[in-house]
Amino acid sequence: MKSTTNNSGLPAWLRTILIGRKPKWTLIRIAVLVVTCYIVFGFLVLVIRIEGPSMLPTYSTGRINLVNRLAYVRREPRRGEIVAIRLSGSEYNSREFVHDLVRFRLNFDRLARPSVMYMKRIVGLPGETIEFVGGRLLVNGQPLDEPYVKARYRWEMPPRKLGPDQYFVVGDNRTMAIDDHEKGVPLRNHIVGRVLL
Amino acid sequence: MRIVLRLLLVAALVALGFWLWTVLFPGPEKLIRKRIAEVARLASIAPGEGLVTQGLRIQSLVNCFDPHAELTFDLPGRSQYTIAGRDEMTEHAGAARRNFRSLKVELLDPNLALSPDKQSAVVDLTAKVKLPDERDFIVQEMKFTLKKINGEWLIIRVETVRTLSCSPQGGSLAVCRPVRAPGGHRAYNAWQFLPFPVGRVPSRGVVLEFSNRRLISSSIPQTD
Repeated sequence: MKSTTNNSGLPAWLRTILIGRKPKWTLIRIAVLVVTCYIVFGFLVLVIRIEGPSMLPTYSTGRINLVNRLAYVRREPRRGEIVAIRLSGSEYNSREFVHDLVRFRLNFDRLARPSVMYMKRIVGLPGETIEFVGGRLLVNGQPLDEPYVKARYRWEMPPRKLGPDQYFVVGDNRTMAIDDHEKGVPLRNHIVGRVLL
Repeated sequence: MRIVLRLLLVAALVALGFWLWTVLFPGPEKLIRKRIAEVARLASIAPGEGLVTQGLRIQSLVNCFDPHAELTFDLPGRSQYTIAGRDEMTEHAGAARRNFRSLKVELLDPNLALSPDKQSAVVDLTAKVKLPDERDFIVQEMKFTLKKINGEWLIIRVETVRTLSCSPQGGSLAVCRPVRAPGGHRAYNAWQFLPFPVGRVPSRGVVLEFSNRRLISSSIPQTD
């Protein structure tokens, strides 16, 4: 059995597999792929690993998911959507981003990938009144149908009117006492994006 | 070709010079980030730490803070508590080391705001604490206030921030709670994002109405 070799000492077939027939183009393709992956997974789509019981049974600990950071560039969040909320720092909204982009003064802290985020479901929209009565979530006094909640503790929360740019978020797991569950109204610019899967 | 190589060499030398400059003369932002990283490293507890190491680490940790620094923790489901001064900090750090075999503290995503005179700064960050034998970790948004004192960036205040507690529209009520102020004075603040200057709020029980984190009105009860 014969096998041709080149200057590097590699067999030709192995060289073709590793670096292609046209090494220059292979190098360009690799560079494009690396840059694309860096931009997509560093800024546009965030890969997250879910930790904690807050979103049970919809999402369990250890599951990998994706967050679309561009989901709310052209529209506002909707009820029922699961969003990622950053803790410290703030996210650009589309208007701020364009404003800073044209003036060449982007704040890279606001573009940087947050390390830790809350994952919650949007249940209240701007202008609505939210309350919990006996574990049931009421929106403007009407009970909200929540098929994703499988068991509920008797949560009580007085009516809370949301402002023009405020969303009420809560996890799907309502089996703990109300004080033990992180829920409430995040700043709009803390909402990073929509959970995809 | 030779010109290109020379230009590349000059560019590399300029880059090296710039890097050396930033290493030798770091800006305030770099110093503050370094301080925050140092606090996270010293607050962590490595398994099997000796007594001498523990003491040294506690001392180094406490030295990152101003002697009158104040740490206020307001966590969901727990009453607010404050640690004031280096002595109390040393006590708490010692107690933590007695109670936990190991502890990993990370201070992530720092968002830094420097004052115009570059003498003080506020850092908004996410603390991530991993306890031993626990699958989950604790995360908490925090606000660190630092001040440049005798050429050194020291932490003068640490507060917890409730990420999901943006004040609702139409007003909400908060009753002032006492906090300890530097110098042993008693001061009152309502929420962590609205610190009152010492002496401005007269008494406990002042009712404040907020809208979008702004104070709309306040009323002082007839009897205190």
